Amino acid sequence: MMPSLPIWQFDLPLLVLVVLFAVVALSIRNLMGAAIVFGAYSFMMCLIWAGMGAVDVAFTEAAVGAGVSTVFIVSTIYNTSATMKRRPGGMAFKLFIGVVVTVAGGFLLSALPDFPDWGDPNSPVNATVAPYYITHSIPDTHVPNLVTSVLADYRGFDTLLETVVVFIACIGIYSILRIEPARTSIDETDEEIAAPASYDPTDSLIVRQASRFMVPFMQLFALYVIAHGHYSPGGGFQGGVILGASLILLAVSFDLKFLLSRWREKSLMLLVATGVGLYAAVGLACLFMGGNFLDYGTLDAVLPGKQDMARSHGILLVEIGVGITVMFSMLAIHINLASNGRLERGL
Amino acid sequence: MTEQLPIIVILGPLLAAILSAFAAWFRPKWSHPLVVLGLAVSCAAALKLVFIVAGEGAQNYWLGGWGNQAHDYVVGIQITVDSLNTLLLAAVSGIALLTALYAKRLVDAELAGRQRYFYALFSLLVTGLLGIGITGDIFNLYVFMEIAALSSYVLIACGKGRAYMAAFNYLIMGTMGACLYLLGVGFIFVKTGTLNIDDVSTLLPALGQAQALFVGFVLILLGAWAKMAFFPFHGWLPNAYAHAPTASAAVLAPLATKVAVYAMLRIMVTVYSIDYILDSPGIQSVVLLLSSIAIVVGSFFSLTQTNLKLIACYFVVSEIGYMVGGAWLANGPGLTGAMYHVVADAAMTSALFMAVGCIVYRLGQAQLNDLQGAFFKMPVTMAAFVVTMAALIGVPPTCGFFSKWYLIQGAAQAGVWHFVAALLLSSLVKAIILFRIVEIGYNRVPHPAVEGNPAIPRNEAPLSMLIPTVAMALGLIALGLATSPLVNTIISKALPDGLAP
Repeated sequence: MMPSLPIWQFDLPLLVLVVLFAVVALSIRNLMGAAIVFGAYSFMMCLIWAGMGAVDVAFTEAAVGAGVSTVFIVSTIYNTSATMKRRPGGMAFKLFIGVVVTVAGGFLLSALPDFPDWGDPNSPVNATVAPYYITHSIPDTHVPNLVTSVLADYRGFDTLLETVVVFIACIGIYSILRIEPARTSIDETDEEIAAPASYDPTDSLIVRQASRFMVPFMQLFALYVIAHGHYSPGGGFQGGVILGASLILLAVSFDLKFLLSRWREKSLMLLVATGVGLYAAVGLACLFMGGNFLDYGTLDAVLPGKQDMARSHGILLVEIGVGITVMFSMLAIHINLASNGRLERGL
Repeated sequence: MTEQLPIIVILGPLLAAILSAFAAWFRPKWSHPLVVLGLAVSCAAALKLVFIVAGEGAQNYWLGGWGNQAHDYVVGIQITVDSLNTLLLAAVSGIALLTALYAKRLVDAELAGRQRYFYALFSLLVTGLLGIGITGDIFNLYVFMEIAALSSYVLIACGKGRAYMAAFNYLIMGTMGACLYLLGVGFIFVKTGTLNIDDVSTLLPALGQAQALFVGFVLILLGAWAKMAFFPFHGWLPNAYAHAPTASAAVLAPLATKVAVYAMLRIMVTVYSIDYILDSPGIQSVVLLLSSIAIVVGSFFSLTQTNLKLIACYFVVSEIGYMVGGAWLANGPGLTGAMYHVVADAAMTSALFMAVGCIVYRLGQAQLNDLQGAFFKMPVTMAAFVVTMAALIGVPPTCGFFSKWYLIQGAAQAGVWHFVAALLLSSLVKAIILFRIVEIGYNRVPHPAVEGNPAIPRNEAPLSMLIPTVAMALGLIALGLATSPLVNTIISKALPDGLAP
């Protein structure tokens, strides 16, 4: 088993560390500590994906798992509490859980001998549709990065729906958390006015200047990730997350008001819908051009180039749509979590 | 144009949701009509497809035009409308349309200040449910499952008080179910290398009894059961649906669990096969036993409840037992009963929750004791309620009678007598509850028509709620009368070869 891992000297310690971090994240009592360990766990996963050659997945894991989701957890803790109540669970309950987990684990492992070897060129996965993607991606779509062509074209419908999932997450968190100003009770407003504004421990000149310096480069990199997704790992999701993270950085290092004076709530939420709307509109345009939904090849009448270039441009358009939705969803989720839905002050 | 119909079924609610999210900030009043329009388009397309499928057979559609370019394998995503899912699609889009019309007053009353995105989420939920029903790709099914699940968590959490906790419990259970399903899909993918349902089903028989495929099958089943609240995973359902806003419960209770049952049927009948199930008889008897327990447990708890919403929720739990049991009988009548009951139960549960919603709208909380005189206050609603209960009990000519007929026939044919007993017990319990409600609502107050007794003022639900409720209740009878053409022209064709009569 061990020698069949590609570089087992790297993979073995990484896998051990992943398990270790998972156990630590579960057993640690302080939730802030757990969030940090969880971020480290995601980073280890990211290295494992990279080791498997799944660089796009590793990229997403780094941006989403280790990046923004840690920020979301921290901003949730900021508004709730970092301490955990010890749940009264009897020995019998623990024993039951232990048995269930052991049986389930054993059941999953029982399928292991059935799996093809690592990297086996004759495995079923490499025998059915994968060869088609490898040989036809460039003639079909003019996209050398197979992950992008599969994600945004061959299986573009899944990606549209994943964008819809991000959209739902955003409007869902907004519907549950957002407290419109008119509904804020008078007591709470008084309390906030009464809070001393003279000294703010989070107000740091160094942090502000550093993030002021970093944000443009982050955004430039994110645009590169979106635009260059055809040729190198990246695309709308990763680029959108990095763009969102750059704005979240501004919100954290300055304050929410500073950010909301540039991006108003209404335009934020409209942009979230615009991105997924753009994706759906591209698909619909294909429908009106006489093809099936999301058949970008039919857009060659309006986009430059032949069918393969039309597909390539179609992919770019939908990646931009994904980027817009992801970017503003991340920001909208963060500001609602950080300010407990009031969008006034927060982390 | 007709070849585009399958995608129009999905695009109707999806585009309506996106537009409604825009309208929420410019013209909040447009949110509702946009969603109704989208659902109407979807419903029309789904109904048209029923006739096309009955006449010409299955309709396939390839997203992005990516069909089977790779020799025999589909490289893209396929959506399929065939005799197994066409009735479900029509039922889901039709019920969703009626519920959208019905929900307007309830949303204005219960969700004041929070309704900005309600209709968008409602429409996205329906998109997810229709997608699960229409897709021909096991991974695409997972993505639609995510869409339906996320929007239903939010629709439940919009409620007050304990709704947050109920939604959280549902979220934990639903996420676990989705994870198990995805893991199972991974196991299938490792062994077959494709995600397309048709391709998987042609590749699977050659692979025989590989352990990885068996693990995948069990994982997918467990995932679907967690999603449909099958015993012993039913704990989340009653609280989630009872504490959800009434409008959310009215769309979730009839549709969400039934679509999960359909997903299980699709995996059992099309992806794997009935032979595969019959070759592993150990699970079959366990599942049949669990189904009987689900029916008994659901019936028992519905008897102990005093809240009409909770009673209705436990009905859902016991009805899930009907369908899972029917499917796992794995014979002709059993599967026919299960497939027919998916549609019939969606309609019955919808009518039940609509009637309960009307009562809640006028009488406040739906405690049984609040129902005193309800038959005089809201005669039309209560008439619809009685029709619905009759269908749930299984009184001919409503649809509930026919599905129960097929199920009992199948159970008798397979010799599973505990399932027959559970079915009859469940009917008995529903009859008891109906009589209890009639007793409270009709007999406990002095009859107003008798001289000298105080008059009881009429307090009927508003027409926008009453019309969908009555339409749904009448639909139960219509569905019952249409049973034999539906079964003969559509459902019997969905049965695997060798089981068709």
